[in-house]
Amino acid sequence: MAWQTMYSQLLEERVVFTRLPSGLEVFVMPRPGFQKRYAVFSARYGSIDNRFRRPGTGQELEVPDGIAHFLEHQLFEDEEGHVFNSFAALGASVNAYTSHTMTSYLFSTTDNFEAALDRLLDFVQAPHFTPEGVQKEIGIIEQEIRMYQDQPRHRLGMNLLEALYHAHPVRIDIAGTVESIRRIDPETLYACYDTFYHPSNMAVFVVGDVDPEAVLAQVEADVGPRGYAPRPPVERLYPEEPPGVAQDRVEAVLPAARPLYALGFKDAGAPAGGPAWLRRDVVTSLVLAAALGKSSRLYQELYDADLVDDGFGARYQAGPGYGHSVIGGETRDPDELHRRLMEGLARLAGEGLAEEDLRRVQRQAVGEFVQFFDSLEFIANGFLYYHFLGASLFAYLDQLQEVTVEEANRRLREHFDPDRAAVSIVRPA
Amino acid sequence: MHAQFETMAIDRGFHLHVAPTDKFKTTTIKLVLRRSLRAGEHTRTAVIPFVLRRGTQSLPTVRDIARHLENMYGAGFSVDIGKIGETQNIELFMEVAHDRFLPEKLGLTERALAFLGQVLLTPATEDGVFRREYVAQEAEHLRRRIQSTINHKPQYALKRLREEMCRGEPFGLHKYGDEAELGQVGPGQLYEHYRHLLASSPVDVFVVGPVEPGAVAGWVKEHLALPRGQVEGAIPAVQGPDPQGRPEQVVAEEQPVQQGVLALGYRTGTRYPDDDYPALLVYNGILGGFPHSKLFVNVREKASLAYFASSHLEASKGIMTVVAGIAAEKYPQALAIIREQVAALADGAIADQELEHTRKGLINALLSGRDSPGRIIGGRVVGLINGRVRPVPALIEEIRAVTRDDVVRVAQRVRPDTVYFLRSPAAGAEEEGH
Repeated sequence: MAWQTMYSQLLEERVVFTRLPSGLEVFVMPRPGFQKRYAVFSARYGSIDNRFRRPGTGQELEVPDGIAHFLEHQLFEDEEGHVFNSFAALGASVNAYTSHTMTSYLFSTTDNFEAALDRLLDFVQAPHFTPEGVQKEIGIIEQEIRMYQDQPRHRLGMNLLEALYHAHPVRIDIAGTVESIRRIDPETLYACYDTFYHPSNMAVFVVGDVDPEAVLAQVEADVGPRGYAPRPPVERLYPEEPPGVAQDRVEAVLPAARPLYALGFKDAGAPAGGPAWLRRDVVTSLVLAAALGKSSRLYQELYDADLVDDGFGARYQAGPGYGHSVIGGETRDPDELHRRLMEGLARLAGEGLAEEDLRRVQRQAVGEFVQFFDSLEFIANGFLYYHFLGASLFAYLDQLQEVTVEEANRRLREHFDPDRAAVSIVRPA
Repeated sequence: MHAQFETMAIDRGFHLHVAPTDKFKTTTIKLVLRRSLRAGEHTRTAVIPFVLRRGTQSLPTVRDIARHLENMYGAGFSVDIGKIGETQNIELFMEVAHDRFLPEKLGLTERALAFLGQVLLTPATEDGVFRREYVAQEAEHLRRRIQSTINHKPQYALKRLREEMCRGEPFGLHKYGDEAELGQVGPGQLYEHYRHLLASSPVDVFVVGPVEPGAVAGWVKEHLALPRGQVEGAIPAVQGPDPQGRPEQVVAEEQPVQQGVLALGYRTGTRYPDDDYPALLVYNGILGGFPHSKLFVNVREKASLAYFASSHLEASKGIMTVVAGIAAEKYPQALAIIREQVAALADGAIADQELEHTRKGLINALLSGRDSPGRIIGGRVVGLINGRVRPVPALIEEIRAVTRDDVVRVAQRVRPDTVYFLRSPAAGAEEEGH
């Protein structure tokens, strides 16, 4: 089998990969000495993919909110019983998660790796949706949704996304709502499955003490005979998203200990993926760390004024058609925090970051990146996340070191635009 | 290939445990000061690590420390209080990338130990004691942290369950102290308490990573020359017996929640150092430790009542908790199902498959733990506190040998203690607004 290798000099790690005739991409990173072997099988399909054209017919379909996550739960049903049991019999631990842009099925095991990998490949490729199964899942996921609704932080974040975006589906909760999931039926699940769970829209990542060639051969032996026809990329239909925010302020009242505050800045016209997207991701993360991290003047001022505490943070998130940073935490006075933050960011946009500030957070980011490579979960999930967005986790490390202070300051002035900011506040009941 | 700890005595009641391994790109360091959890000092003890984190004489502010750590290629530094059984432990934690994987060779492991030495030995002070401002702020932050548990309802329910269940026992004390006492902590008495702790508490330093034990010992002696005095002898994992002959208590609390949280507390009668501990692990695994467990299968998969339903051990104390998020009106049904599953185990209703899957799941979890420096160290700390270190290979052999009879014997010792239910004020109120 033809395979290629990518190598990181700094990390001293390599990834062996290939693309099978069905379009499935398979990646393996050998990590000798680790007990655990970890495999993830992912579809480029997340909660934002709620409108698309069906392959073949070209028919446009709009599906209920939360269906990608619902489908993820339902793949654990098979004809014999529950998928959990078959992994338990192998001593393997299986799980899955759905994000805005991907759905991932994974297991980790210290024994019976080959059998577990077969089982993973098999259950993800064998949907079994029934009216009874769907009914049962509605009860479980309703409780999952209500659990999140009781978390003030979850409400804070969801309200912020609804304020930042007019139409883009990133504003919709990944799990959907108690009402939307009641509209899900087996037929719609199958339509989504057939559209997004084709090998050409999926990838496998394996990491641990494994023989890469043996893993590639095993995946090919499983997927090859299933006779998938080649298929062009799925056509996803995202609504037109205006550059401005939908609302500049949203407030809620919930049982919470103290007020919660989140400030969002929305990108206009973010690249949908690829190297330009990665660069923006890297630069923005560095800007946030330098501007608002624990070593920044602004953080120290806010901390001394008792407006923020240890839980205060800032992060950037971007995908197809969306990009925003979220800044915030618990505070005694959300209005005062907002005023001081906006003032501080405006001051920073005027002064610009100093060369030394950027170098320090670059050093920090490089060191933290190396530390993450002791986590097999981080490697596999991080790699596929970036890969699905047309970027590479290894390239992330290179890009981190290349950013200049001019580039960081350009980004800082562009991103912290008060006209594209929204605030979400949750006040205690 | 597997990290084995080598233990060295550094000073009176001060030990270094080094597990060298090339498998990790990171060196992980944890320093633990062990105390008995007791009213009267637990609030002051809780504040100390957070005040220490605020500054040293040469790095007097959070910002100075953050800059220092960023320049060490993003060295991780955190502090916390660990509560294991009825002990309250000050924990300082550091994580540094190995020089080999960085663009510059800075000797980060030694620098990390030197930094810890600075934090412990030369904290920022004024008038010879901790800075008043830092003490007041950090005590207030801890008070808020305790209160913020309410933002996460399952955690809040478990906290309330433990309080109700262990009222009057040291275990019932919060690891971050007493809310009222936190308002009264002053810098002078706190500093005095700190000097006393530093001299009298057993100290253990754990280092896991690509290091050479001899070199680490040299650095620890050089940078962590703690002023040792009369060190307290044994610090027991529990300070007294379980309460006897108490009827099961039921506690309900109302809040405007979307989802009710049911939490049950049991006294296991078996603890970490006991020979039956491996059987207790299997017992808990069969009941609610895995997705194949009785609680997950019966509460979630069969009855569709919950998204989460699981059981957890606090084996250093001898407590098991069960927690499930349910609709408020399903309380009687969920409670009945949970009690049935607990009773089934005591009656020996355990399928071969449940036993086998649970053994395998526990072994997988133990072996996987060897890939995590944090879990390697955590297992060692629990062993030291319980006076019985259980090396992973030995524990795995013991789990393999656990029989159904062993599980039933353990199950019959388990006693229900407290039922706690967090719910919305009126049934049906969760439908509001729809």
